[in-house]
Amino acid sequence: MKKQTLNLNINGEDFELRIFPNELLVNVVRETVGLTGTKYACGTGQCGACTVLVDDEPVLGCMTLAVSAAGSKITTIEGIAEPDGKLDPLQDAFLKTNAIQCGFCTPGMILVGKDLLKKNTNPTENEIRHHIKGNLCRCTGYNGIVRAIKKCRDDMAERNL
Amino acid sequence: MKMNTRIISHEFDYHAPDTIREVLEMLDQHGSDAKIIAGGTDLITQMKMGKRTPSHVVDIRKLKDLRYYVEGAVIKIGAGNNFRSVMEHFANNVPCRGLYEAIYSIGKTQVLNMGTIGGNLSNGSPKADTAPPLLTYNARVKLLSLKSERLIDLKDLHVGYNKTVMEENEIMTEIQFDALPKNTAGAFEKKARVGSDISKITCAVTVTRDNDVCRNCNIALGAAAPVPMRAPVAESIMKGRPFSDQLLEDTALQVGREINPPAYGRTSVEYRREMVAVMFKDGFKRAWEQAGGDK
Repeated sequence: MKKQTLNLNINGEDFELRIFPNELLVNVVRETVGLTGTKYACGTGQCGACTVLVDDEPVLGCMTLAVSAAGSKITTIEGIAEPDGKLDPLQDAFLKTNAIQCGFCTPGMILVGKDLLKKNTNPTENEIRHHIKGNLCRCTGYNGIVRAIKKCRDDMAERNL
Repeated sequence: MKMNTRIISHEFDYHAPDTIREVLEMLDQHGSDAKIIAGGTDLITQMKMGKRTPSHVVDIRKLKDLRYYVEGAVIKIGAGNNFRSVMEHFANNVPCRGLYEAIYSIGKTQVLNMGTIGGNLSNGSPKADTAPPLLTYNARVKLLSLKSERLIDLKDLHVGYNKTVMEENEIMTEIQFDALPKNTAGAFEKKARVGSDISKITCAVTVTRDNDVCRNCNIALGAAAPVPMRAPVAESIMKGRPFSDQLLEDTALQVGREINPPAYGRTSVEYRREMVAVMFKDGFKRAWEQAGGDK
């Protein structure tokens, strides 16, 4: 098994990496690139902690071969705030509603929540809960998380009025 | 069983060919040493567990030639379409409601983006959620190798627990079925441990209605036997008869009798038998309502 060159654009920055074909995207993002906001937890595609956006769609980093993402645009939790440090509206809503307990599931929850609000600007509570089904919160802080996504939804609606 | 979920410990070469032909050549050349990867949600777990250790992994996810839909007398679905795409394609299709609900029930946003309909079927699991609704449509799958192309009935694809008739050098390229008759509707019911877990038991129903007469009631079950299965005896109770509550009860009981679940896995045999009858009734009622009849 030989190392391969992998070109990735992560959070707007181009990387040329040398990796083995059996390396997983979550490990490359965390260890090779050093962006540890993305979490590793179950490793079997059950918990959603390793969620990253590949070409703007949420996927599981622990179930994706890094080589298969060649040429793709990767977005991690570190990449959603503005370059000047201004938080993404959903990050802001998580802070304002205290939707974070231990924080381990938060990066995945925010990326999936953003995906929902991009596709559906006015989701119901049921739609929110369905969309985050693949993300587990071991603190069981789901109510707060749903509240944060709702707040972001309402804030967005208000700004557009 | 060996299980390190953090890494894949065995070594392999990775290939991402640009054409189906190159994929087939690679499979022909490497035989059982090669394994196709599409979404990876099944294969990566199997590799982490050491259940599969291919020395060549052939990625078909980026092959556009496997992502298409054809509408008409025969509905064709490219095997490379991901779950999300198939779900959106059938979102407003009343006859194919069962397929939509089956994919919706998978639930997990990330898996909907990753997993493909062809992968779901060719992985061979009796728990594959897309299999029961497609079985009620009498679907066929197209299997392609370098030297042959064959169209087989989906009901003949699975031949045992996690086993299919697919040869090592074959890939699934298409799923197809005849357009469903009018006044047809379907439903899919599933029980799982938590929202996004793999199924404990599933039931798909597709009903064709002629006023109060049930012209056809196709029933298929997942995680109910070593392979996804139809329930022909239960179907024959309902078929061609005017609907009545008693008939529904009798059919539901027969569905429970007809399944052949293993005595291991995510739940007990007794639970599956009891639940599948209830699930069938719930699914049937929804489908029956939607099928409307000639009113």
